Amino acid sequence: MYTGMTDLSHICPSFSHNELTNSILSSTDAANLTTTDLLTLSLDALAKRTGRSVVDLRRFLDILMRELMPPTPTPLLEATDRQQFISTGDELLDNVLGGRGLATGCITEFVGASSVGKSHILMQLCLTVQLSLIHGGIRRKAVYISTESGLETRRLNQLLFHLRKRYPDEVSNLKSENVLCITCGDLEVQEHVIRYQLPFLVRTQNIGLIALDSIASHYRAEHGELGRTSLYQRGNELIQCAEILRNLATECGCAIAVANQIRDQFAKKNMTVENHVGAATLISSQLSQDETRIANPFEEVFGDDADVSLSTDFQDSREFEIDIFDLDYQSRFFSGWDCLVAESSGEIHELKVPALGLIWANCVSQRVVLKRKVSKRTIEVVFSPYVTCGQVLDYEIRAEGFRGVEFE
Amino acid sequence: MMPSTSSSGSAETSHSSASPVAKSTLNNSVSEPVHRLPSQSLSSYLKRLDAVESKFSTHLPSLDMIMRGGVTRGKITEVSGPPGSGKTSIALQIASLAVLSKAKVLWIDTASKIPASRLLQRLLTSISRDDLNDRVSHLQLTSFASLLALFVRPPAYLSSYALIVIDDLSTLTAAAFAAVVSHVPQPAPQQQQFDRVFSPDVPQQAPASDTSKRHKQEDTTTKRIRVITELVARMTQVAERSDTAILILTKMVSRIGGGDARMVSSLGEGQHLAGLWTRLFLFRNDVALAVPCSGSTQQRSRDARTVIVRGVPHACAVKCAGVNYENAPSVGVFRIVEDGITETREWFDEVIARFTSQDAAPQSESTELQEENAKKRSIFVDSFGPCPNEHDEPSPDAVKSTAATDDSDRPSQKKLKPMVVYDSEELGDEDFEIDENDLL
Repeated sequence: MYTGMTDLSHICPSFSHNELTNSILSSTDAANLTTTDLLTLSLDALAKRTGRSVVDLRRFLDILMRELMPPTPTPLLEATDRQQFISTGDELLDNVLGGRGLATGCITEFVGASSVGKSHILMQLCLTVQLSLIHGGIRRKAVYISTESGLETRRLNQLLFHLRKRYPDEVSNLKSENVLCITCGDLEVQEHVIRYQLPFLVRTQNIGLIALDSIASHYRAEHGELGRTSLYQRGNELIQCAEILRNLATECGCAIAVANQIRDQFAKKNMTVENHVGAATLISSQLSQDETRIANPFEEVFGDDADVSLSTDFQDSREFEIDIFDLDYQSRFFSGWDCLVAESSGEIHELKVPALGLIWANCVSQRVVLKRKVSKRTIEVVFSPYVTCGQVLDYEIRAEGFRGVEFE
Repeated sequence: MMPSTSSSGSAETSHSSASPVAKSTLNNSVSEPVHRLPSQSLSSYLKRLDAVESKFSTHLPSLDMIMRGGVTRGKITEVSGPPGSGKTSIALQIASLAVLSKAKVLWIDTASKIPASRLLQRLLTSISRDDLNDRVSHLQLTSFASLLALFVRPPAYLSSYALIVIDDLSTLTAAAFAAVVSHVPQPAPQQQQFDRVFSPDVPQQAPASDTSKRHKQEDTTTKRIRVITELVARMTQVAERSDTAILILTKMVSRIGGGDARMVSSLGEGQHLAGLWTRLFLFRNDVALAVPCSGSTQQRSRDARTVIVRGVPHACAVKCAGVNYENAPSVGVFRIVEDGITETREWFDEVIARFTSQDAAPQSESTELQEENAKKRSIFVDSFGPCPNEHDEPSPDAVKSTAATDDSDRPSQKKLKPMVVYDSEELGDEDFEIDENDLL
């Protein structure tokens, strides 16, 4: 893929080439230096590695710094007034997503079991993106990248029909031709599409939404071996893929909606609720005496009975402690499934976790989880910079698409 | 831009703002970079550091206390945490309060754009749009190299900011190092060492065909450490020179130690982070609130119920004011709200009040049953429906009403969970940056 300084063309496409820079670039390429190296290594070290003179290198670095320097900061309101949102077509659903719908300029992940409706919501977004601003769209096209079974055009047309009925004055805007579909048969094709075809499409075809359904299938199929090598590689590939998508989103102001699969999580034996019954939970009891008690807001509420109320029941489990930063423990709070909820209530709850792990979770800006229990479907935002309060919304899939169900 | 002198008012040495100008007029070149900050006595320096004006606080006693006042000017503060733990919310809080105290703020975005609506709610009631535009600037960076360039050759405007927020640094470093790794050539089979844990850092000789000297390929970990050290050093320079507070948000990655995967800051751990003044790790945990039952005082221990509030955001200071507290970090809780963060006291009071008003356990039950019920009560408390013995899935209206209340978390299932002190003794010997999670 990248070798040496060709990452410069990726980072700084408008880099001016002249005789000096070209010759230095060939030396740095030969020495396998990256842009980061150039900026962090000392001139002497660089001179030693490339065999060029310090003077030449300094001149080159001056040019490089100038090109890499970010533009002057813009006043906040100017920068953020341009932020757009794509409505999902349903008001309740938009509220769950933060009020106005799907945010552009970042990656949103829709995760859930199979046939829970992920592809459905992506299709719906592919259509609503074409609406004009007053109806919640951004008047742009969509591209749907399928890695599984391809776009269900029949259902798409049905959704289109209903949407046109709902907004009769948008009939000229809403077309199925505005949804470009690409099918990727394996990981190599997927990477090629994302790296090369997608940027070209987005820049030339006025794309407002990139729907990727799903990110996980090929990665899981091809990196099947459990060796650390492949996990590491997979992590790096994911990060690079996310970087390309993110840069596209920032540059062109489009939204990225990615569907992800789930996998089972086996609870470790010490992660069951029973083992933790009664372990000390008050913050104040953990702090040493000279630590400030400020961190304990409950102190006044309990008054004198604090120890009495808890100590009798909970004495025995006090020794047991788990590491608060244990990955499985913390991932309860950002995976979308609280794994520890399971056993104690007597029901068989599913222990699920989104595929691709923490590395992928760090790549997305928002995670929306869809669950289904018999006939009841719920949607919820697990984390998002735009959403403070994680509401759980029931929804139904009807002929006209997603409909949030409100309870009185 | 510079803080006022410390509150003692005595004739201290002039603080740094006057001197660079004085120095440069002496040298007759205004644009010359400052190579040496003026001398001042240690006591005046420390006093200035402690002064209230030199910190950007969160206005939350719990967090300000663990940070010893807030984000300090002239220093670098790191806030790290898993997704959804409240990093951006804390930064929004600090930034908006800084703006209200007339400081200039630069917000640097790397992934998603700052959720402006959350910031504006609080600010536009107090200041005009023009003032807001003057005080807060926004920059979007897409590559690590551009961040480096910004701090290696800081442009003039950078020193005019009192607070710089970087949301977030991990996006840039992850992308930069992932690209590096992908271009390292695979070692020839005979060079593979099977017992070593894989890392793409097998020393590789440069191809013999080129004329450059043979150079041992730097392994990724070393490179990472070197680069981050350099970045922190440059940031420190910028921070110290212009008395700017730099707040860095970072994500967490998983490290495997002793068979378990645990989360650490993506910047790593170790000496190369000595330049960070304060480090806050965010996490979520359940919090138990003892709810006194309305009932006889004698049996309070049995009748007291425990309501578990799930997923409360916590912050712990593993390093504060330059001192490491990894083994005994102080912890604070907070609550994420629309315009930033707020205290939890009101929220918890409300929860407790809601449950106190419910009926106490019926007295007619036998003691064993009563104890068992007490235990059940303490484990499963349905937050909105009728209390004790129903520990089925909450009814739909229970779930729905989360939207209507102030609770920012999902109290649909309450579970008893320990609040655990962050214990760093479990760190293993080897550091791998692999998601142990995915080995299934």
